[in-house]
Parts: sequence; structure tokens; C-alpha cells
Amino acid sequence: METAPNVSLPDISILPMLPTGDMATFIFYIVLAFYAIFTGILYYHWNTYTSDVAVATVTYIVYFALTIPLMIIIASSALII
Amino acid sequence: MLINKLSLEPGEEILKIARKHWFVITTQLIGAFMTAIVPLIMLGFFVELPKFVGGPEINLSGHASMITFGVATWLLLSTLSAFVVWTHYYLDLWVITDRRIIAVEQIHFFNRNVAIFRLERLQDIEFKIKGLIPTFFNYGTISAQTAGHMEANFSSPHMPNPDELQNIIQKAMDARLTDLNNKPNLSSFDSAGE
Repeated sequence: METAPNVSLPDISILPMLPTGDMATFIFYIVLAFYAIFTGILYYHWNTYTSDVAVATVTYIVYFALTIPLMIIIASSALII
Repeated sequence: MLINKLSLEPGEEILKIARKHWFVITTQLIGAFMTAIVPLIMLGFFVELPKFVGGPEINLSGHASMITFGVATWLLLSTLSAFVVWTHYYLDLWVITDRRIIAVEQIHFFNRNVAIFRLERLQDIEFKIKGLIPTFFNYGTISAQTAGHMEANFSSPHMPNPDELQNIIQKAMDARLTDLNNKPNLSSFDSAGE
């Protein structure tokens, strides 16, 4: 029986003048800026309006425990691309 | 902190802090989780589909870092949206004291509405539980009418145990009116800020 051939994806850079690696780095900087602004807004709201400091502290811990590893993964994969 | 910002009057006691029912935030967080796993499902579907339909196998080994980058970015955005849901849930609350009801509505990060109603000005408080799930989980809309026509009436949906909340507010209203009748010199406008 004849087996199906393997198909590799082509270079998926959206902009022809911008290499994929540079594009990934550019997107990473945008994500980093968005993350920094979002973190500031989130911190401000919890710091100002919470009714329970313990809940705010747990929220900070969970937030950074989930998002910092993701940011590290995004940064390292952007460097590899 | 919120309680400091509310600047309670001397001797004012908090009777209850109420937030929306847990079912509301659970459904929203499940929605965020389902959104988060969409790219993983799509990726699995994309890779596995040719095995079932007999098409050419798709080799993604050369794009592992690109896929990791995309999936991690998507997961980060989904996580941030889940924290938006949690923040809005937790910062949206009713503080019922023995003198006032403070209704804090956190609509968006930059859209926050704080309404304060004095108990002696409340005329009627009612709740409505409508639908199968609200009946099963005992949550509903609680609304109140104030005496002054210049003041807005207020209502809040998805409040847990609305009958219990209604009882607490009703008892606090009665106690407040009794207190004011027993001490005629105690005006309803005696507090700071009014």
C-alpha cells in the first residue's frame, strides 16, 4: 500500500520583508508591554479596592505563578525562532 | 483598602459583605478555560486528522518553537482574561452596615460605580429569582426603592441567598428606624459626608 507523503509547512512569515525571528521578537515586545501595563492596572485595583488583604496577596501569588513561567516560555521561544 | 476608603461612621457596624453568586464566576472562568485550550485542540486536530482521512502527514517538527510561542502567548492572554473575571467578581460587592447599604459595581477596570443608600430612606426591598438555574442555586436579583425621588433606585443581579439578604436589610432598616425614633436628636444627616 502506498503511504502518504510528509508535508512540511513553508516559512510562515506574514511580512515578506521581516524574517520570522524578527517578527516573533517584535510580537514578544508587544506582549511584554501589554503584560506590564495589565499587571500595573491589576495591582492598582487590588491594592486600592480590595476588602481583604489576604485575598489580594493570594491573587498576586497565583497571578505571578501562572504568568511569569508563560512569559519565560514566550521569551525563550521567541529567541529560538 | 476598600473598607478604609468607605470611611465608616463612628460606631457603624458592617453586617454583611455580599458578592455575586459563585455560579456566575464559575461559568465565566470555565469560558476562559475553554478559550485557553482551543489552540491545543486545533493543533491536535490538525496533526491527527490526516491519519483518519488518509491525507498527507503534516510535519510540524521544524516549527516547534513557533508553535510554543503561539500557544504560550494565547495561554497568557487567556490567563489575563481569567484574572479580569476574578477581579470584577471580587471587587463587585454590597456592604450592608447597620446604617447604610454601599453597592460597589465594578463594570470594567475603568468603570466603577459606588452607590450609598441610607437605610432610613429605603422604602421597599424585593428580590426576584427567575429561571431554573437561579432557582436551583438560589440566586437572583435584589432591588430596592428609596424614598427620595431624586435618588435612584438600585438593583443587583446574581446575588446569592437573596431572601437572607432581604431579611438582613429589613431587620437593619427596622432597627435603624427604631433607633432614630428613640433618639429624635439623631438626624439621618448627622454623619460626615452628607
